[in-house]
Amino acid sequence: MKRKPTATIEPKVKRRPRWTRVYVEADERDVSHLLYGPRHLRMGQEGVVRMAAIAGVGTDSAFRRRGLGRRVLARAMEEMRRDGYPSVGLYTSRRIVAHRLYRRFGFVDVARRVPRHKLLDPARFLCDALSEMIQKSAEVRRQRPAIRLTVAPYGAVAVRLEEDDAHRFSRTPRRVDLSLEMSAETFTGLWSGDVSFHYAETAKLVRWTGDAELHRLLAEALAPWHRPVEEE
Amino acid sequence: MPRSRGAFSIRSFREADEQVLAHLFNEYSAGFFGPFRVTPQSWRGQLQHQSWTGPSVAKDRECVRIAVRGEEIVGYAVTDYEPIAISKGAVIQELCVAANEDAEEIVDALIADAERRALSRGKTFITLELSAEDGHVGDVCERRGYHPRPAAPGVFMATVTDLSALLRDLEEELSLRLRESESRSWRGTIGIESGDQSCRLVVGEGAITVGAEGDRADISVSVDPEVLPLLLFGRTSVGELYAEDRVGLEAEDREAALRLLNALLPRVPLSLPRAQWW
Repeated sequence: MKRKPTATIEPKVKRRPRWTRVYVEADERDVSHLLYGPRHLRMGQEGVVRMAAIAGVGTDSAFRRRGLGRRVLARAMEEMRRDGYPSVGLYTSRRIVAHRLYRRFGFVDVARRVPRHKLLDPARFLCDALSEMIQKSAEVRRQRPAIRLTVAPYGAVAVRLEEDDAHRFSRTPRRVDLSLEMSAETFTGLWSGDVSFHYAETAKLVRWTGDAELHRLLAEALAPWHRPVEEE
Repeated sequence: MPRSRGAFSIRSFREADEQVLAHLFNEYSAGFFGPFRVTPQSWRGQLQHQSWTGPSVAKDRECVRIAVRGEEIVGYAVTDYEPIAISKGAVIQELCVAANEDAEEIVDALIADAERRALSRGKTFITLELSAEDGHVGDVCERRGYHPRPAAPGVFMATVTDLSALLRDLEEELSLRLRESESRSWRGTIGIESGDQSCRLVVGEGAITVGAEGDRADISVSVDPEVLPLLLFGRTSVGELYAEDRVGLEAEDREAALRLLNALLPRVPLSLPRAQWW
């Protein structure tokens, strides 16, 4: 029988010149840990805010859901206070479960990253995206349909799977079996995983015309097309 | 004072540029919350190693492009043409311009240059990882057809662990804000309370210092701990919080108190350069 991993619950602290490591050991290895080190953020014209920067947060997948991350963070917060840091900061994703943990420790979302995208080669980009969508459904692939994707203001592209190769697409099919249209915002949200296809469908952000059965199959395959909550 | 306009061009990065680029970065970052002050060495260090936060100038000299007017450097952009986990895209991650009359044109030209280079490397899209509050960048992006990703999950989180120590760090900045405000002659004490933390600011002679806990303050401010970082890091102002009923304020003359507090704790534009993420 496989031995259940055991963890020494009390987090340990190892100090290095640039980073301090707080960790929990089990089976003679690190199973949950974070690093923190000093940063000096500018504030306005003359101000400098001393901040403990947290990075490298992680828990071995076999040791998750045992509160180890919480214990490591609690110990780190104690150490950072003792070290005299007036503030603590970190970069994370709102999609990971640790975001809730940070909030419980008093962290607030100070700034959200809002990257901005531009398609440099819209036709090629949309073709790649459409090809990726078609490949998500074995049934749709089997039918080798021609599908058109229109994204305002980038334009329209259509692709069809080649008869001889499941990974090659013709970009100039003569007729189209199914068309779908959406705005650039919706497309960006879907492509980056910020909204699910199911949501886009429900909110009528995607307009379909053409073969109803094909629509059903493709919509079904794409429904979970979003990034799930990840564990850090 | 903005410098006068004239023809500018864009060229490749040279080793000797580092001094000026670090100076330009520091000059451009003044007034923001977020960026670290850089030296020529640390600026170079940010680009030295390929990592998830950016390109390596050692491997790709073209990742840094310089806008020059004659011999004078008036701006630069750093673009990662091989970002980790984004094989088909490029990322513009830093863009600084000197205070020129034609700063917006320089921003536009640097972005256009990065787009051309990304396209020539077979990239199908480009991403701008710059703060929307970065000077002229927002307007130029909109004109150039960039679409924001408002639901992107990336976030910077912070908490205040020692209110008094943080305000001591900010004494110089708070004093400067006081001297530049209409309330520069105000004298007295301001008490700030948030959860189990409290602090007393002593205001007088155009300077602000953190004082010892004492009698009742002339102005008392209380905010929830979850609002405190937003207020101290300039994401919101006392006036905005007051309008939303999210700040407690006790003062004999509330209007004068709000004027003073808005001058001391205003909104501050934010910039978190990608090369400085940790």
